[in-house]
Amino acid sequence: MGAADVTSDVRAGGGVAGRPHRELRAGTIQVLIVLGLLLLWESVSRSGLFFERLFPSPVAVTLAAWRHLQQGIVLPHLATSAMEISLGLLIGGTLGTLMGMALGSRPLFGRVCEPIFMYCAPVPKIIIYPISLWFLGIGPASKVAQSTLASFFPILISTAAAIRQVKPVHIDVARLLGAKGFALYRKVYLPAMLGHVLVGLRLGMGVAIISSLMAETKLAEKGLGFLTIEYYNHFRITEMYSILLIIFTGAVLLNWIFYWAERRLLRYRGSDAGQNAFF
Amino acid sequence: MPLPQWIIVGLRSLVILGALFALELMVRLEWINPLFLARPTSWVGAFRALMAEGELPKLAWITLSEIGLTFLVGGAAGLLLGTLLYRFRRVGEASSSLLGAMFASPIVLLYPIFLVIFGRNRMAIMAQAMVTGIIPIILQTRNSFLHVNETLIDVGRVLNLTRRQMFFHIMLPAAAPMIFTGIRLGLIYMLLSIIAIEYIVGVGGLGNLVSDAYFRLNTDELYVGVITVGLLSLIFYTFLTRAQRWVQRM
Amino acid sequence: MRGPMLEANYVSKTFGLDGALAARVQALSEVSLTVAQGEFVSLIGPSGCGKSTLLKIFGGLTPAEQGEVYVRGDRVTGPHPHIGMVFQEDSTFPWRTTLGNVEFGLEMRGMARRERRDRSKATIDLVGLTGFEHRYPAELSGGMRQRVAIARALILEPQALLMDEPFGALDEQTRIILGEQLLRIQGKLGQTILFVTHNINEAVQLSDRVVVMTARPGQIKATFNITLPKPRDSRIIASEAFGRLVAQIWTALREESLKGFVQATGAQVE
Ligand SMILES: Nc1ncnc2c1ncn2[C@@H]1O[C@H](COP(=O)(O)OP(=O)(O)OP(=O)(O)O)[C@@H](O)[C@H]1O
Ligand SMILES: [Mg+2]
Repeated sequence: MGAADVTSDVRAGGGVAGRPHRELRAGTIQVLIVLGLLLLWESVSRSGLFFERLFPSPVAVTLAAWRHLQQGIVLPHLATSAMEISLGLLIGGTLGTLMGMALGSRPLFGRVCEPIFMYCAPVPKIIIYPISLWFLGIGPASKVAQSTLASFFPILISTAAAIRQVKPVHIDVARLLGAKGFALYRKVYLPAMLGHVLVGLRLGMGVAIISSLMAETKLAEKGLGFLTIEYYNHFRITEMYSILLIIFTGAVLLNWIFYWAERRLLRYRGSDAGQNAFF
Repeated sequence: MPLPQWIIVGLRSLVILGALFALELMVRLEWINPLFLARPTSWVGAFRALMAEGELPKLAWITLSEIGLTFLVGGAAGLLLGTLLYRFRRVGEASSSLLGAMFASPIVLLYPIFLVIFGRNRMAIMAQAMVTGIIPIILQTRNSFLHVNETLIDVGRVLNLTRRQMFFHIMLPAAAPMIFTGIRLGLIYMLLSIIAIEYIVGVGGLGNLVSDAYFRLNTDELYVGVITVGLLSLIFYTFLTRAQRWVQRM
Repeated sequence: MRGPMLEANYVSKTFGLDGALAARVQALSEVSLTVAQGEFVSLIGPSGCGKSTLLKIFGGLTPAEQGEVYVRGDRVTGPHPHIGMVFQEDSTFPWRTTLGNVEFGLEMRGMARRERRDRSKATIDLVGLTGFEHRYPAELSGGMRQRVAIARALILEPQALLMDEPFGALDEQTRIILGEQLLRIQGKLGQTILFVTHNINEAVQLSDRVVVMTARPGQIKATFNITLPKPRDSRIIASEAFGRLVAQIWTALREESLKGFVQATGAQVE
């Protein structure tokens, strides 16, 4: 399951750990990079090089985002999107876990059917949005369907992989030491699979967010994606940027929470260094 | 005892055919509204018609050329940036975690910005796809260089290679298999975002076909569009997987 | 009284019975073996001759295809509560600390946390890992991990220990030291031990009896009683009697090892 693995690696931000003073320096450089980009943006926007309304200054965007949050304009949209995403992740995650367990634990079923799922996984799911619309209407249901479909695949693939990489000797040992039934699942299968499952969940959440919001920008009545595209259509570019800012802050925050939880739960793995420098 | 591969493939085809057959049956019995779900057998007719008009190949070509162009620019830039971020370690460390955070967030959703900058055209689509697809290429390229086996580097040192020689004869070949993983991922992301935005904005190739068919309520054509996108990604994915296997064999 | 602790009667096992004829592998053929209470028996034989399979059958992890297996007179149908097993590969749970690994069996038996802790501490001390209770396996060396696995088996006070090349992955020095430790523990607790190894020196150093198996399908080829005085330590390796035994066992093993080598590689060996 190369794709999911690499994605997780890459998404984790390359995992730059190291001695504290190193980290501090990296942190300083990061702040400098971000500040530099913001400064560039601000000055380009002020220079009048581009049409001011197309290129609003970051200060204006942040202020607009703040206003939106404060006046509660985004809240109903945020609630709708959050509902669609979490429902989709819940349904897709449950189905994906069940199917992944079946694929991972029955060798014949896995060999016959897993490639079908593997090949469906990278197909852009948004393409069947019109079909969801026909069946489920332009309300939240069609977005739930999209995020269900999107989160189903990464979770399925990582669950199947997770089951397969459980070492048989761990099951043997546990059985010899008296683990049976539910205890065997809770104390051995679950911790042995946790790493892959968490990665699957994080990827699933990412694609659930993307697919719900993308669907909202195509056709919807409510939601953050809908709001973004409404502002675009009315040419209120500063407001559009501000909604995007809110979406991105939320997504980064969520991902960071997930990543942090993963790190805590998988502390036992220890760190693997192995970074070299030459040329 | 594992069964031979041809039996597995046979069973797999049976599963797929069975699913198609079930769809056909459900639509024929009108358990599912035929207005919303075209029968698999009618896909074939619509597919033929679109092929004969030359419409489908044309649209597929548009989509593919968008992907190709995006990759040409994005791939080259990604490799270069990734190498630079390896070369300049401090900046590399700092920016790769920023890039990682960016990659974890829904960048495709930034497409309205590209529409604002470029207008509703294919340029906007390609620019957006490049931004999405370039990130895994950059990160993975840097990462691959960082993970080159120390022993190989020492071999190069012992041979007194110049930096240039070191790069082209040791680092690059040693890192190539891992770099390709990034390229593969980048290409998949480019394909995903190009088709998604084609569909949402209603510009360009196959995505646009589906978007159009929906508004014209042309069920057959819509399904042909969806199936073609599916097939195209399937071929694309197969090709990439094969290529990766080939690269990693060396 | 020293009645039999482990007993196998005419045990055979063939793998791949559900598949093609050509893919069948007969691992064991009519193996009979009895291990008395408190005895230390080593199994030695060419690679792939079915030693691990025999141990797994004793452990109740795989059923025998023919024949019966008994632990203290009970017919084996699943893992027997009086059996402990140590595997050749690293089998520690990476998500549990040393303490967590060692107390796993007690936890499964529903023992209270406090009591578990105390007993684990004692067992950890026994294998010489005090101070490493809160380390994860990733932070331990290979030899330490193997000692965790041994402690994890010992804590349930099994009457019989099945050890499948427990020191196989270790360097010679660690191997000798751990062997000594094992004998000391056995001297204290008096378990029956069935021990698989490829190392003739190790077999002679530790055992009361060494059983040599044939190449696949595995059968018992010869048995050697080791009458060297006990308690032993590693210095015995230098004695003359030790050398004679090693030579005798190697003579019996050599022929089988060559056969096993041909089986595995298809090579022609003169
Ligand atoms: N689960 C299994 N399925 C099929 N064949 C198996 C299985 N387990 C073992 N075998 C086969 O049975 C034979 C005996 O295996 P076993 O693991 O018992 O050998 P061994 O004596 O422990 O070898 P080694 O000394 O190399 O560990 C081997 O030929 C092996 O290929
Ligand atoms: Mg073995």
